Amino acid sequence: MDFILGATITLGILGMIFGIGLAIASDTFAVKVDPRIDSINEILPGANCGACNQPGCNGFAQAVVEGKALVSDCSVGQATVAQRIANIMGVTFEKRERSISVVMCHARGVKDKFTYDGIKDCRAANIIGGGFLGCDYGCLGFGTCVEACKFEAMYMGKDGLPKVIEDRCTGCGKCAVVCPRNIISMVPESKRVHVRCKSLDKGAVARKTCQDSCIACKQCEKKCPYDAIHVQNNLAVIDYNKCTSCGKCVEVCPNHTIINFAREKSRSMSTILA
Amino acid sequence: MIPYVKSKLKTFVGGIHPREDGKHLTRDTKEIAAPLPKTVYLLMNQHIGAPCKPIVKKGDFVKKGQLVGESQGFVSANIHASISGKVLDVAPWPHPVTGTKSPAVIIERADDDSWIEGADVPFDPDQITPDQIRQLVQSAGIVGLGGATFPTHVKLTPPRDKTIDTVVMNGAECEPYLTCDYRLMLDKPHEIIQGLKLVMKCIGCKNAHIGIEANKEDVYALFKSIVSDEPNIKVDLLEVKYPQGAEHQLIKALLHREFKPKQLPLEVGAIVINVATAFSIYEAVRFKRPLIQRIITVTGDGVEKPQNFLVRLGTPVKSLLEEAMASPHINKIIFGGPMMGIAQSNRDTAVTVKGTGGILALRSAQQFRSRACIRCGRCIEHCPYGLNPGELSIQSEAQEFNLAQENNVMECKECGCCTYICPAKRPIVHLIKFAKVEIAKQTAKKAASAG
Repeated sequence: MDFILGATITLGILGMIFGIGLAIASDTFAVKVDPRIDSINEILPGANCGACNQPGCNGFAQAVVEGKALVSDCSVGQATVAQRIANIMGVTFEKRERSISVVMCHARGVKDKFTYDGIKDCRAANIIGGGFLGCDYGCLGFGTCVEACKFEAMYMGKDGLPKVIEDRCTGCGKCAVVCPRNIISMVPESKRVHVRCKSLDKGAVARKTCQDSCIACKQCEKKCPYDAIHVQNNLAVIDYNKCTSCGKCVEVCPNHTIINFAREKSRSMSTILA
Repeated sequence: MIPYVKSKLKTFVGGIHPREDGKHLTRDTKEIAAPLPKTVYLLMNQHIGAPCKPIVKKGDFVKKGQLVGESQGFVSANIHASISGKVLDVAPWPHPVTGTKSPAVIIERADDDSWIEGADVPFDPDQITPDQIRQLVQSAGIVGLGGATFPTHVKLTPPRDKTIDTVVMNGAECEPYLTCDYRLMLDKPHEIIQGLKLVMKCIGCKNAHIGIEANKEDVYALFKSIVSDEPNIKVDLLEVKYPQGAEHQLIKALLHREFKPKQLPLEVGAIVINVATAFSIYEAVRFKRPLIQRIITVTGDGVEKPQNFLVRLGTPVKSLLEEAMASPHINKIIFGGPMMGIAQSNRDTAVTVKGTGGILALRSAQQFRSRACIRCGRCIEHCPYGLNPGELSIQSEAQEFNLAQENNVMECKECGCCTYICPAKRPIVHLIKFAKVEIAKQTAKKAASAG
């Protein structure tokens, strides 16, 4: 009996000493965490996509509290999350327009330069002989961008080109980063007219390689009432700050390179359902 | 089969012995001058470093040896007209190595084939100073003709704090099928030794070491007799093994010096010069001839008459293949040898560049189905750089590029031994290339964001 009692008392005293020690230690060595970091972290989407250029969502929460990032920098959470973070931080924020990714290639009838038999990844294919595609600027079509999308907002269409489901796109820009040919651009959502070509080849060469290429005829440049589209290095480029998506250039484009996505959207939705 | 069996001949650890090296096809063909091409396409980036700037324009008349591409920066090499004629155009042309279009000077041949004034004048090399040699080599646009195309004058200008005690000359020619260096060594041994001596004079070092693979014993005997009264130039036979002619492997085999990761040959006190480079240095210094031609082996089962040709730079491959009587059943054309060469996408637009040592035309284009790595470890046994290629390829496949970088993927020189030996037929070199490109992109991005 004495034996049990002795053990219990010893353990009890030991437990008490350790308990007090731990209690003191947790108080004196406590790491002071700003409570705002935790509450911001709860609001964030938690995808750790890295679109904000911070190491994950926790990193972003810290950066916001330290003033290194803006409350509206989380492109995934968009305005709702930004508003809630702004409430916690006690600041106002400027509402920014959502950017979505647009695939700037519409390759049709492009022949291959050679038989490619290697790794099924656009980045790996692009380093072998400058890419197997007849066009040096066009989409290689292995879907590296689709793999990179963490929000399932992209899929490979039946025509071999990646498609963006605009409702799901968060504008994180991961697809644009992985594309070895810089075909994907991040464009404000309200801009609906895009030049779907990246070819810098001269008109005649470009037309030979692809039916839908920009041939630098400058028709769009002449027609644009807002001075928003210009041909640079054999390619029409839209200045989205000036563009109003009026669609005048779409009408005159002889090769149907410039496309009005307002009309295109319904079609792409139907292909998803089909 | 086992790489670490001790051989009597000097060699390195790792590497492979290709079963059929195909050298018998062209071994005994004395090189002949290829007929002058109607048009040459001189690409402006035929070397490692900054591309040249074209200094002629459409309609100009240029003479053989005239400067048409001016080097931009120190690590760059001049490009000279290889024929006399009219400049048809300065336009982008597909590059046989990168596959993308690069600026090129296109020249149509005129009837006369005489050198430009100032070139092709004999010059006494005994009176020359090291700086003059360096300057002549630089203006002649000489690059490493073994295939790496690194500008030679950069090699001849070692940093002040490094001392070079030995010049190693590479006469190994380990790449299967190619015999261009072999033929050059047989026909111009004295000129090559002269070129080697110029290099030694230029960097002020006393010793030289020539490495020749054991399948070229006649060359070994020839070189041995030439340098018999010069004790500071040693000639050694090397085991027949690929990649015996690579810089690191040659130094390991001949000088028994080991490399730490990321070390260059000059950091262990040696520089490596290819025999073809030594010959063109001799030509540049002795006769002030810029680098406008080289020997190219046109071989493979796709040509009826495999042959060594003396070819002007920028010659279309089509005309060379016609000259070697190409069969209509060619399925693959490779620039360089089968191990490190670059397959060509278009036989009509391919033109020769300074680094082209061979054109390999093959009838069969085998396609392999690659499987998962079976962890047999053969790639590790055969890797001449002591890497773990299988693991690196798996990391690259999983897009764990940072992990691959920690495992020294950047040390890989893409010699291809691992892919050759892999029983699962994995595209190891391609995966490693992929990882290297992605790491380079990340580093560039970090450097850009840092400032």
